[in-house]
Amino acid sequence: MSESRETVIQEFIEAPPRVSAWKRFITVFFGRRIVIFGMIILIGLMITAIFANWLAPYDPYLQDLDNVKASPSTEHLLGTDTLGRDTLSRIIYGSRTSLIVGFVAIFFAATVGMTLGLVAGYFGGWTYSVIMRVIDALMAFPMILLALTIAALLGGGLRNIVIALGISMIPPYARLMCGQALHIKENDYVVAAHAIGAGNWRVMLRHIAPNAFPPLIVLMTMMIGAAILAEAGLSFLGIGIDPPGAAWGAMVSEGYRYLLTVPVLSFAPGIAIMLVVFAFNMVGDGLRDALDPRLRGTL
Amino acid sequence: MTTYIVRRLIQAIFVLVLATLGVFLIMRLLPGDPILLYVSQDEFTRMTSAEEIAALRAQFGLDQPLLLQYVYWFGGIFRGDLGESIFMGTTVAEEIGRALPVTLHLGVISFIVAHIIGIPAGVITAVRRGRWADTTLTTLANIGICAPIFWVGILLIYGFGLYLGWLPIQGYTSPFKDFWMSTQQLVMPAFCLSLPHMAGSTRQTRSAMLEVIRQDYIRTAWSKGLRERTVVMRHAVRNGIIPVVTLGGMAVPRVLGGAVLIEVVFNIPGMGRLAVDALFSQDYAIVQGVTLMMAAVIVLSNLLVDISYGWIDPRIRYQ
Amino acid sequence: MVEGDEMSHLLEVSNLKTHFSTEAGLVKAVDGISYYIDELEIIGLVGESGCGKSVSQLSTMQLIPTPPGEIVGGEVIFEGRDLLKYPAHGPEMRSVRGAKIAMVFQEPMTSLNPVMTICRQISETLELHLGMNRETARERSIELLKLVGIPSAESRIDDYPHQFSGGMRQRVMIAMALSCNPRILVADEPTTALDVTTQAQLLELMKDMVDHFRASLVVVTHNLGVVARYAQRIYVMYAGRIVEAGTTKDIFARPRHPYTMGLLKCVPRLDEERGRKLVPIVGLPPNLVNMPTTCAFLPRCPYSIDRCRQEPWPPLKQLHDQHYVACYANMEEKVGELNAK
Repeated sequence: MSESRETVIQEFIEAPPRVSAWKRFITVFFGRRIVIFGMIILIGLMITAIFANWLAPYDPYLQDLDNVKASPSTEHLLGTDTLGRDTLSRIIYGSRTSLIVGFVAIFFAATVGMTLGLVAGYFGGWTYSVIMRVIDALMAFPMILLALTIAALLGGGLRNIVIALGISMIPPYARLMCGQALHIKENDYVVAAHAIGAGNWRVMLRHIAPNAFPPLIVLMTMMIGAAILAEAGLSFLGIGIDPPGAAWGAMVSEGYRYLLTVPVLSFAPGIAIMLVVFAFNMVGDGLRDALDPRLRGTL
Repeated sequence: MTTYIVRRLIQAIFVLVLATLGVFLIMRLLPGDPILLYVSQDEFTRMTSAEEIAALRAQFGLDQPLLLQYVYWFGGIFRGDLGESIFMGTTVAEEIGRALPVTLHLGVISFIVAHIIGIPAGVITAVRRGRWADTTLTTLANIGICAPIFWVGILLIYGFGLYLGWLPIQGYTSPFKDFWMSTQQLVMPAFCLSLPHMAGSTRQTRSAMLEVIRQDYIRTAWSKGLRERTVVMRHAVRNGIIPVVTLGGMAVPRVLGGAVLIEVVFNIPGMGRLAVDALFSQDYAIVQGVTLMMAAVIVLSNLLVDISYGWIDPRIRYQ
Repeated sequence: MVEGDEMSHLLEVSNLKTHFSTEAGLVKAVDGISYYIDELEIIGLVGESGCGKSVSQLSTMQLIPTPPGEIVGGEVIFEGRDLLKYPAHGPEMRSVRGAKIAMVFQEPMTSLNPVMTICRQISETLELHLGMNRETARERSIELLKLVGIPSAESRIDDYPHQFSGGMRQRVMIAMALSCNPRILVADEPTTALDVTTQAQLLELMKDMVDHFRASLVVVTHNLGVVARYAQRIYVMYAGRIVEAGTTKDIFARPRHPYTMGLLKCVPRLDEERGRKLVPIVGLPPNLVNMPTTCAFLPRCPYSIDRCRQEPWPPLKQLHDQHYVACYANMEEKVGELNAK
C-alpha cells in the first residue's frame, strides 16, 4: 500500500458521502430516458408556442380559396383546410391555445381547490361536511359534461373555456389537499404553532400548506395532460375559442368531414395533442418519482 | 357494516340532490329563452302572439319561481315524470328511456374490456418487471392514456371502416334486433371508450403490484416453497387489487364522459349525444334528466366501491 | 474454514458469498462464511445490523431478490446436495423451502398476508408439501395453533392476522414454519419487534417446539442475551464474515475476538459487580461498499497490532476444540495482555 495507512483507516471510518437533496432530485428526474424525451418535447412546445410567429410558414388565418383541401406538398407540408389555410401553421398556433388553456385552467382549479381543501381539512366539522358534499356533487358529473354545461352557460371564448375546465377540475385538488391537511394537522409542529398563539390562517398558510405541496405539484403536472385532452374534446364538440382561432380539437372535427379525401386534416392535430399530453405525463411521472416515489401507487 | 352502508346511502342522496339542483340553476341561468328559441323555429309557419308565448311558458311551468320549479321537478322523479322536451315534443322520460340502454350497452362493454385487458396487463408488467413484456406493455399504456379518444375513433373509422371496409363506421343497432350487426358497430366505439381506462388500470395495477411484491408477506410466501403462480395470484393480486377497485370507481365517470365524445363521432343515439344536442338547443328538461341519470349512476357506483372495500379488505370490515 | 466432526452435518455452508449491486456500489453483504449445523442443535448467529447475518440465511434458501442481489460463490450442502446448484425457483428448492428448511421472520406485523385467514396461510403449506386435503389441513392447523399456545384455537383459526397481537402473530408464524416438520428452523431476529416479556416466552416456545419436532434451530440476532440461554454454539459475524465461532461457553466465558469482547462489555451481566461501566464499541459500523482488504474491525479495535494493518483480513484459526477466532492479535498469542485489558 502506497497510501499512508492512517488515511486509509480515516476514509474507512468516515460515513458514506451524503448526496444533497437537489442533486438526488436531478439524478432521479433525469434518470429515465423517457422523461428526458418528454422534457425535450415540452421545451419544443414552449418554443413553438412563444415563437409561433417566426416558426409558422404561413399566417394561420390567411385564406387561399384557390387551394382548398390540398394534400400535403412541399409548399404546404401538411396540406390546407377547407378555407385554404395552411394546416401546419394552424397546428403551430394551436399550441398556444392548448398551452394557455391547460396551464391557466389547472392553475385556477388548483388555487380554488387547494383553498377549499385546506379550509375543509383544517376546520373540520361542519365546514368539512359542507365543502366535501359540494365537491362530491361536482364529482358526480363526468368532467366533460360539467365543462360543457358551464361553457354552454357562459358562452364560448378562451376565458370561459378556462373557467369551465377549471371548475370541473377542482375536485381532485380539493380532496388531495383536504386529505393532506387532515393528516398534517396532527403533527406536533402544528400543535406547537397553536401553542405559541399562531392564528388559524397563519397556521394554515405557513405550516400546513407548504408541507402538503409535493403531491399537489405532481397532481398539477399530471392533470395538465387531462386538461389539454378535455379542451380538445370541448373544441371538438364545438365549444372553444371562436373561429378563426386555431384549436386542435376543432381542427380534428373540421377534418372529420373530409376524412376520405384529406385525412391529414384530422390526423395531424390529433398527433400534436397526443405528443403534448404524452410529454406532460412523462414529465409528471418523472417529477413524481423524483419528489416522492412513495406516491407511485396513488397518483 | 350496515350502519356504514346506511350512512353512505344518505350521503349519496344528499349529493344527488345537490348535483341536480346545481344543474337546474345553471340551466335556468343560461342566457337565452328556450321558448323564444323554440318559437323562432316556427317563424315561417306562423306568428306567435304574446299570449301564446305566455301560454307556452305556463305549459312548461317556466313562469313559476325557480325553487318551486325545482321542487316540482324533483317530485316528478318519483312519479317517473321528468318533464317534457321543449323541442322534440316527447317526454324526457321517453327520450332517456331510448338513449339510456344504448349508453349502458356501450359503457358496460367498454368497462369490461378495459378491465379484462388492463388488469392482467398490469400484473404481467409488475411480475416481469424490466423485461420485454414490461417495456412494451408499459409503453403502450403510456401512449393509450394520451390519445384523445375522439381522434382514435376517427383514425379507426378511417382505417377499418373506410380504407379496409371491415367494420361499419357509424350507427347503432340493438343487440336484440340484430346481434351481429350490433356487435360489429360496437367494436370500434367500445375500444375507443375503453382505451383511457385500459391504459390507466394497467399503470395502476402495475404500481399496486410492484408495491405488494416488496412486502414481507410475499417473502414469507416464497419461503414456504409456493410456486410463482400461487404467490402471484393468491397472495399478491389479492392485496394489489384494492387500489384497482378505487380506480374502477373512477372509471364510471370517465366512461360516461367519454361516451359523450364517442357517441358524437360514431353517431350513436345514446345519452351523451342526447346531452350535447340538448345543451346546444337549451332544452332544459332533457339536460336535467340526463344529468340526473348520470349523476345517479356515478353516485351509485361510488357507493358500490365503498361497500366493496369492506368486503375485500377485512381490516376495514371490522372497524 | 471451520472443520466439524468427520460425520456429515445436517447443513454445511462453505465459503458463501452474496453480493448486492446498489447505486452506491457493490456491497459484499456476505463475504465468505462457513458454518454448519447438526441434528437437534441450536446455534446462534450474532452480529450487529447490517453484518450480513439475515442475508446469509436468505441465501441458503435462495430467497435473495436477484436483480440487486446475487449469490456469487460457495456451497450449501443439505442432505447430500448443494442447494445453490439448483435454480432459485425450481422444484428442488421449492421442495426444500417450507418442508425441510423453514423460516420465521422478524416482523410479525407485516410477514403475514393481511387478507388471508390464518387457516388458509397454514393450510396451504400442509396441502402443498404433505398433500393433505382441506379438512385434514384445517384440523392439523388447529392442532398446531394449540401447540404454540394460542387460546381458543378452533375459533381463532378463521381470524385474520390483524386480529392477533404481535406476540401471537409470531406464534402463528412459528406454527406455520413447523407445520411440515422441517429439519431446520431458521429464526431471523424473531424477537426484535416484541417487548421483553413476550421475547422470553417466545424463545421458550421455540425451544420447546424444536424439541417436540426434533428439529434444529438457527437463531439470528444482534442480542447476545437471546442466544446465551438456548444455543449450544455461536457464530459471531462482522461485516459479512465470521470472526469468532465456538460453544456458548467459549464465547461468553472466554471471548477472544475484540469485537466479541466489545459486545459483551456492552451488556450488563448478573454475575458481575455493580457499578461497572457499560463500554460501547467506539466508531461506526463499516461502509460495506468500499471495504479495504485489511481486517474490517481494525478502526474500532483497541488491540490492533502492526500485522493487522499490513495483512489482509485474518482467516479463522482454531484456538482449541471448537473455538475459532479470526484475529492476528490473538494469533500472536498476546492472550494474556488481551484479557488483562
